[in-house]
Amino acid sequence: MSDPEASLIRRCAEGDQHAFQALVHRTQRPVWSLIRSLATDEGSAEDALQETFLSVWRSAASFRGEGSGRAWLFTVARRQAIRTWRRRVGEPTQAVPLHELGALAGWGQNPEQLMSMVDDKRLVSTALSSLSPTDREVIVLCDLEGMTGPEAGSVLGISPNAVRVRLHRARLRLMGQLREETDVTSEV
Amino acid sequence: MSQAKFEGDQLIGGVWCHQVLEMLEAYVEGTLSAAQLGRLQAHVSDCHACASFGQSYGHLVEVIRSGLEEEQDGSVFERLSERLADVG
Repeated sequence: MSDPEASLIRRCAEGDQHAFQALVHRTQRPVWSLIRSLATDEGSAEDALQETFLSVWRSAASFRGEGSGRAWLFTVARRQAIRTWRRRVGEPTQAVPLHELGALAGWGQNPEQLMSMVDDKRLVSTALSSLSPTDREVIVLCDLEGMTGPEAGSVLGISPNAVRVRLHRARLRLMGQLREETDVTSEV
Repeated sequence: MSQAKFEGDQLIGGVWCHQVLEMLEAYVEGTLSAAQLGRLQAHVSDCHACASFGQSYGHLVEVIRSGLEEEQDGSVFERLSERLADVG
């Protein structure tokens, strides 16, 4: 299967600067999106972005091609983000029973309201930014960046099955956050 | 044997509402077995709460996957390019 990122990383390992530029151009937006999902402030997020790509250039030779190039790149970015904020990103958030998350997400509530809030992309973005880094990153990787369970699992250091569980709970929390945002908005 | 876990949790088509909630992710990803899918469909055809919630959940995933309106400050990438200019 074609893996353009992997090819570019291999060429970076040989010192090919054009390949590095192409890799940066191709991946800077999704990498920025992941880093921002873990960031505490915009300024240090930008530092983390720059350090990520410097690290990619320096450590390209360590890419063994066992996973996809994109997964390797995101792993470097995630490590950089954790180093920057020295936070325990990726730790499971408190284990709330799934049916309680479902209730917070609006199960059994007004279906029209649920559907209309989900349709509002700006509201979804705002709600996403209010989630914990652990919830945000799994949604960014799987839903925004379209990573498979095994790919996201290799970035997060968890099994594909654990990715699915975390993703499901994160989406429910996102729906719960959307309901909160909607309540706040309608009160203004 | 499973039992109700919250108010309004109903057993329909041999499946409880809370079990539908557990299956939603697999349903959206299309990874349910034919038997699971049949049971889920039997439940939601008679359970308005699960049907509408499942629809909203699936729609949320579609909306995110179609891309969110992220504020992309182009100057971030210009500064990145400047910082990386001397690489090599």
